[in-house]
Amino acid sequence: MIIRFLTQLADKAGTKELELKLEQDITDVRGLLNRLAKDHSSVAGAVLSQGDLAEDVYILINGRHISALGGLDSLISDSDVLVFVPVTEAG
Amino acid sequence: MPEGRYDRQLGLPELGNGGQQKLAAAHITVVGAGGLGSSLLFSLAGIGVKNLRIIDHDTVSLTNLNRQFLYTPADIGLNKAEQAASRLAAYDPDLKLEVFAKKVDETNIYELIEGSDLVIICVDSANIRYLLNETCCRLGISYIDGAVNAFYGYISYIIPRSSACYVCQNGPLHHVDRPEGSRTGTAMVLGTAPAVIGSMQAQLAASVILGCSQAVPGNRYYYNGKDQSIDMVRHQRDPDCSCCGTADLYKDGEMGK
Ligand SMILES: [Zn+2]
Repeated sequence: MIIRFLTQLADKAGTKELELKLEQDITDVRGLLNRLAKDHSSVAGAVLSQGDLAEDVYILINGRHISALGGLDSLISDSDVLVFVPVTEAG
Repeated sequence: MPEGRYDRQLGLPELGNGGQQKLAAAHITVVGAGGLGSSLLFSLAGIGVKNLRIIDHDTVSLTNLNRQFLYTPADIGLNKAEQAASRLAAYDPDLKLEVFAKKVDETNIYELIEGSDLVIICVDSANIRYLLNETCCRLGISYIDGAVNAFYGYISYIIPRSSACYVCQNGPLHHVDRPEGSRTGTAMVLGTAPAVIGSMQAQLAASVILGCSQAVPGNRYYYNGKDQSIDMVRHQRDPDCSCCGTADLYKDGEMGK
């Protein structure tokens, strides 16, 4: 699957994009976050806070906000594009 | 309009053949005359947008002046919408300016944005973005959103009930609801970031009015002020969206006009 990181998340993660082959036992976003925490420390440092999705980060799956899909239980597969989005709302 | 003011752009095919008149005729409402609004309002007035409604209840403070170049130290304590209007009127005396020095809320939002051809959101509050999104969806008014953070920001052009809306993009309000100002009130922003994003909003608005925009409605364009890249993020409209979805809001026909 393709995982994209926007603006400051890309800066912190050190990459704009990560291509991952999902292991059999990873079927949802929660599983993916655990995998990132285990194997991709710089990425995890950008988007996670104490193992959970950071409060000021949200996720899109194929252009849909995960809250509309099932939150951290949203199912994912290798053909999906995930985007980690930093909350941006100052004017 | 005075002869010659727009000579440097009238030779563009998009501006000749009536384009300049389209800019002059459009009624644009700008919500928020802060960092985004400073460059946006000057840019729109510069290219010949003549009908501007400026909404901001806030007063100018010293900490605004790293980015809100509509104002000077002499404006501190005065209302932003009124001071912005007086500065813009000096820049172009032909402007037709409407000023609302009011806080946008559920009771006045229809009055504030009704009749606009295009709304441009330059506020620093997610809660107000949700309220504006819902109202634009109900009234069927297209809008341009923009926001910044640190060295970064995004713009987006939203056509209600056609493209993804702010709720489709951002998730429902309860995911982000929090006391106003708890995060953005003190958000750290390099003063140049809102100048860039406000200018991008103005450029997008001009393209939309001129009918030559190729930005994909509902998508967001994220600007990275460190590596100078712009990344497009695709957003799909959520058929069950609480705001623009087909589920309940418009079902009774009352709001579906
Ligand atoms: Zn929506």
